[in-house]
Amino acid sequence: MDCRVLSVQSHVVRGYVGNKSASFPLQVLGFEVDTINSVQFSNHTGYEHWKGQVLTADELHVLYEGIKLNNVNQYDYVLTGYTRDDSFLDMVVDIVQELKRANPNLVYGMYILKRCSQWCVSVYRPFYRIVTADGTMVTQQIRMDIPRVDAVFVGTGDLFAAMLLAWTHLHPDNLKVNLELRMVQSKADIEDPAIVVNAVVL
Amino acid sequence: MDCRVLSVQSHVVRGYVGNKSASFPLQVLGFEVDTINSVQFSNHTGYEHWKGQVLTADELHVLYEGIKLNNVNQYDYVLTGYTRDDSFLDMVVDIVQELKRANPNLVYVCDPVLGDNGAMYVPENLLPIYRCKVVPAADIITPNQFEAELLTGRNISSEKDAVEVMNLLHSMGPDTVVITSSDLPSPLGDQYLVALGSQKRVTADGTMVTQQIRMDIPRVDAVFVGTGDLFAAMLLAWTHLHPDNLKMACEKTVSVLCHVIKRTITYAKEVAGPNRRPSPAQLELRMVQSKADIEDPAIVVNAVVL
Repeated sequence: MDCRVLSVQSHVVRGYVGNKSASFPLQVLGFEVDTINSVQFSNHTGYEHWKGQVLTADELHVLYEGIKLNNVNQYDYVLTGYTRDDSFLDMVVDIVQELKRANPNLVYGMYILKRCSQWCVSVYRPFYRIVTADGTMVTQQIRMDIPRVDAVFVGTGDLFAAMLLAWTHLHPDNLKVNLELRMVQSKADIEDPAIVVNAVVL
Repeated sequence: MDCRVLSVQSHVVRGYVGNKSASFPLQVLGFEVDTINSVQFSNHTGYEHWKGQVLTADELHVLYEGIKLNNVNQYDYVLTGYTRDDSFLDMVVDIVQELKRANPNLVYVCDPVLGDNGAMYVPENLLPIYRCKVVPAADIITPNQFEAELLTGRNISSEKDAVEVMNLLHSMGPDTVVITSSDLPSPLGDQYLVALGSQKRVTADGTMVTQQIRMDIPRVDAVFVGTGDLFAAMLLAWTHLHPDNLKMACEKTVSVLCHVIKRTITYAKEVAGPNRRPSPAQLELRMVQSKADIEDPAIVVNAVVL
């Protein structure tokens, strides 16, 4: 397939959020995943304790420069998630724009924060649309009724975004997604998910 | 299975070395892999350019502290590889020793990366640390011939020398030693390189036995980066899945390497075009594409029991 994703997200030593949540499932599905770790923390911040280091916007730029100098800055997808720093986010978008100039077909996917400042909202631009074979633009809208689970899961949003990327790549005209968090043990489910939730076309 | 590995290695944005080389294969085989990235570079240093940042020994300690404060510092394995900094290496071993106190059954898999082809490519002051501190704490080591010679101060000119060196390495600490490559002549000819392994174990009735093996591995005319890291990770996996059977563990490990390398060189030659030498970018291991071979490797190299 040779589809290359650049994912700019957190790294945790232990657990599955950010890049740890997105990489393995995408790799299992055959995507080449280049990962820039925006932070390196011991674990996610829902634990009692967390410790680690953050990447600055300059350091992000330096890493991108390395990729660019080697002429390997060609990507089919960029994936981003939870970001806390405005200059970092700015730099991410600058990089995405440059990558889009290199590959106009690049798809930029992001997980939109529910509680996002006005500034953030203006930066995140929606990308999803379907153009049918005869050139008409259609919008497919769906509703999904998902069983609740009485627990707090962290990393599910990141996994959702990664799997949405994967399955819309594999089924470009069909909005169809399937999720489970226990990742390593769920390799088989990632590879070939049994459909357990049906989407209702509105 | 719920077997938890702590891997302290490099991270590259693009490509497969260090943690990027070790994680995916181990996860595919069902291991939980916690990764501490000792550096974050754009790509490995065989490319024309590389850029990035390194983790200090203090920052490593801070990350470990986070794990410890949450009482989740329980591991079945620790895996380490290429390190350039003496204080960082020191800190890694301190962490391993603490983890071993928490779990005496912990297995420390160490690739003692020092150099190759007669030259060191890490600072010389790392050698005494490996000799005196790291190797004594290790349970499985994967030196190449040059590293095995450096660690023991002995020269290897024959299979007999290699066996003596492996026995010396056992006496330094690790019960499992694999010399991953050597320039010893292979009985199959000069298109093969020789690897050797030795495992000491105690049988059910309390006797100590040593199984020693040789493998003749087909040479490939290209420079691959990250294969040593893949080797150590796969040796961890296959010795876990085949304890007390070094022959089987090595056959599977080496077979995985052969499949990945074959897929990689085929792809690299295709994208480079006829009569062009593939670039480092083109020679990146085809890891993701080799998932099936990682899960269930067809055995393509047989180990000879010595």
